[in-house]
Amino acid sequence: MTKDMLAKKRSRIIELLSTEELQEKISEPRNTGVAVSFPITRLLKNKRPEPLNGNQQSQLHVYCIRDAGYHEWCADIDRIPLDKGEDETEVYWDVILLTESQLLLPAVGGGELGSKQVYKGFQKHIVKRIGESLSRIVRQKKSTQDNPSTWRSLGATYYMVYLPLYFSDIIWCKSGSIYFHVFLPGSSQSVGDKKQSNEKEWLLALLELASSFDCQFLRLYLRRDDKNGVLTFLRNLNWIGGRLVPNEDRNQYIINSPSNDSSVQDMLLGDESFVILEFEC
Amino acid sequence: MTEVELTPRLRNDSTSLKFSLDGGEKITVSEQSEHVRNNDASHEQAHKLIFESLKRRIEAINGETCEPGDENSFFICDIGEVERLHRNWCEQLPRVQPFYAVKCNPDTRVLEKLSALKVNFDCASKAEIEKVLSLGVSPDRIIYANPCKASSFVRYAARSNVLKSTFDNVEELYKIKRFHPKSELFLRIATDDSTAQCRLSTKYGCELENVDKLLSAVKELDLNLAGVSFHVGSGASDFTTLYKAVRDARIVFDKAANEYKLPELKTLDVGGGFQFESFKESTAVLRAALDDFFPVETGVNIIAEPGRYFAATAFTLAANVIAKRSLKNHEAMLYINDGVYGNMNCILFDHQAPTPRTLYHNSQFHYFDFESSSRDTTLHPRKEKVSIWGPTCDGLDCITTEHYMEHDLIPGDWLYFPNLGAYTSSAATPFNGFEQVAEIIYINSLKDGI
Repeated sequence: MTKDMLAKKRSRIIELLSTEELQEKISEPRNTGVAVSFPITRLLKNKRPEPLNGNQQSQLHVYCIRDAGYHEWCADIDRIPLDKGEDETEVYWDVILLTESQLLLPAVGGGELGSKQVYKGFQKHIVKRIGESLSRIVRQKKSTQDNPSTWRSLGATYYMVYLPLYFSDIIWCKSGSIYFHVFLPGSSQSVGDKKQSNEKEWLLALLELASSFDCQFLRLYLRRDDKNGVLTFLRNLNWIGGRLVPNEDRNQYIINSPSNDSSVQDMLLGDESFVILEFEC
Repeated sequence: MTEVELTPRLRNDSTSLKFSLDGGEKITVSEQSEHVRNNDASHEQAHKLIFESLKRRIEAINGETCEPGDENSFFICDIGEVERLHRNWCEQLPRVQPFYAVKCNPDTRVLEKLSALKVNFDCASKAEIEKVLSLGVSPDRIIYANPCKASSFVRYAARSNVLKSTFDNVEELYKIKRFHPKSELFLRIATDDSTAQCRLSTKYGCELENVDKLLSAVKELDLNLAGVSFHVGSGASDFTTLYKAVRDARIVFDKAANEYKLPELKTLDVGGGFQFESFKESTAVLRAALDDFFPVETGVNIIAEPGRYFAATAFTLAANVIAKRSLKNHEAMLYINDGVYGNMNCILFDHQAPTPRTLYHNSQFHYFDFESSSRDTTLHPRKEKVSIWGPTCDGLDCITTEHYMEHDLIPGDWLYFPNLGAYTSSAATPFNGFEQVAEIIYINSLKDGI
C-alpha cells in the first residue's frame, strides 16, 4: 500500500516534469544530465527569508560541456519547468516525501505494516519535521536536528537528478550543512551492464553537483540488493578517495530515543538496505 | 615474436625471467617465485618483539577483568620494519624515487618515518594532501594521483601549490588549464592488468591508441607535460605487464618529442602494485625494462607510487573473539570485535584475505604456531572449521567464510592477523572528524632489537 502510494507520486512527478522544455534539454547531445533543486524555504508562503539568493530559488541544472571544455553543472532556469496551473508547492512536498521514503524500512512498504495508516503517519511525521525546520529558519534559530552527516537529518535543499546515460530512474538527493546525500536507484535501474558502465563518470557528475552547492562531503547510498554492483564499486574505492561509513547502530538509536509519537515514526526509517560511502567534494 | 631474456646480472639465481611480449609461450616469474620467497633470509620480521608487545597488551587487558567484547582490537606497528623495507627498496631499485601512496595507510608515525627517509608522497584526496603538508612536507614532494578529479580538487591542488598531477582524459586537461595551469602533468596510460587482484586500468588510464588526443590537447592548451605514468594494479602475478608498460611509456615519450614537438619529458612514474612477497621478481623485471627503455644515460627521473610494500608487513592486528555460534560438531561461526567497517576494509576494497592465527587460547599464547590456521583442509587438516565475522551483523562484514583452526576458540580468546597494514586502518583513520577505531602500539625493532 505504502509502496503503491509512493509509486503513484513518483509517476506524477515524472509526468509533471516531462515538459517539452525539459525534454528538449535532455535530448541535446552535449547535455548528459539534468537536476532540479529547491530549498525547503520554497514551501513558505509569506515568510520567505529575504533577500532570496541563488540558493533559495528552485533551479533547473544541466550537466553539459560548454566553452570550458569539461562537464559542469549550469543552473539554466531559476524555476522548475512545470506546466501552467500545476501547484509547485505540492510538487516540492512530494519530492521531499519521495526522498525521505528511500529510507523507509522494507517491511513498511508492504505486508502487514503496509497500510494506509502507516503511510499517512509517515507523511504527517515528515510534514511536521519540515514545519519545525522552517520555523527555525524563519526565527533564525539554530538547528537542534540530528547530526547533518546522518541520513536522519532533513535536507535544507532537495534534488531530483537524472543521468540517463547511467541510470534510467531518478536519483533522489538532499543536502544540509556540508553533506550531500545521494540515494542511488537499484541495479534494475542501471543502464546497460553495470560492470561495463563507467562509475567514474556518474560519480564525477554527482561530486560536481554537490560541490556547486558548497557541500564538502558526498554520501552515496548503494542498495544492498545489488550486491555484485556494490562489490564492483567498492573494489577501487580507495583510489577515488572514498570511505565506507558504518550503518546506524539501530539498537543504540532506539535506546537513546525518547518514547513519543515522533520517535515511533522514526523507527519506520532505517539504513540497513544500503551500503554507505563517503567522498570528499 | 619478441622475446626478452634478462641478462645474467639481472637474473635471480633461481628464477628464469624469460618471457614473450606478444602472446607466445611465456614463463611468468611468479610461477617460479616460491623458491625465492623461501630463501629470502635477508628480511626477517621482528616476531619476538611483536609477540612480546601483543602479550603485554593482552595480559594487561585480561588482568583488568574485562567482559568478553569490552576489549578493543589493536595494532602493533613496527616502525623499524618500514625502515628495513626502505633499505631493501634502495637496494633493489636505486634509480627509483618512491612516492608513498598515502591512501594505503595514512598512519602519522609511518608518514613521519617515510618523510624522514626522504620518501615522497602520492595523495589521492584533499584530506591526504592536508595531512602530508601538516607534517612539514614540501608540496613539491607530493603527486596528486586521484583519477577522478572534480573541479574543486584541482582548485585545492592549486591553492596548496601541489604541482604534480596525473591525468587520463581531455576533460581533465581543460579543468587543469582553467584552475591549475602551472601543473606538472603525468599522462597516465592504461596497462594490461588482467592478472592483478585490484585492476585499475579497466577504469583508469588512457589506451595507447588514444594517447594522440591527449598529447594534442596538451599542446593546444600549452600545458606542462612532465612525464608518463602507469599502474599495473595491485597484487599482479604476471610481471611481463610491467615490462610492457615501461615499453609503452617509452613510445609516449618518443611520440611527445617527435610528433608533437613537446619539451622533453623528464619523469617516468612506474606506479605501484609492489608487494613484499614478490618484490624481488617484480623489481628484477622493472630494472630490466628501465635498462632497455630508459637507461641511465637518458637522464629520465624514475618515480613510483608504492603503498602496500611499505605498509603491509609493518602492521599486525589483534582482535578479540566476542561471540561464537556452534553449527555442528567442529564447525562454528566466530564473531570478533573488528571487521570490514573497522580495520579490515581491505577485504572489500583490496581483495585481501587476512590470515587469522590463534594468539591466545586456553590461557596460553600461540603466536609462534604459524600453522594454527589454514584455508585448505586437505593440506593441513584442522579440527575446527570456522567462518569469521565482524561485529556488525552485516552480511558484508565477513572476514573469512571458511578457515580451519587448530584450536576450538571461544569468546574471550584472541586472534591475530599478520601483515595487515595495507588498506586497513585507512578508513578508520581520523577523517572528517571520525576517530581512529583501533589503538596502535608502536615498536621499533631497529632500536629495540628483533
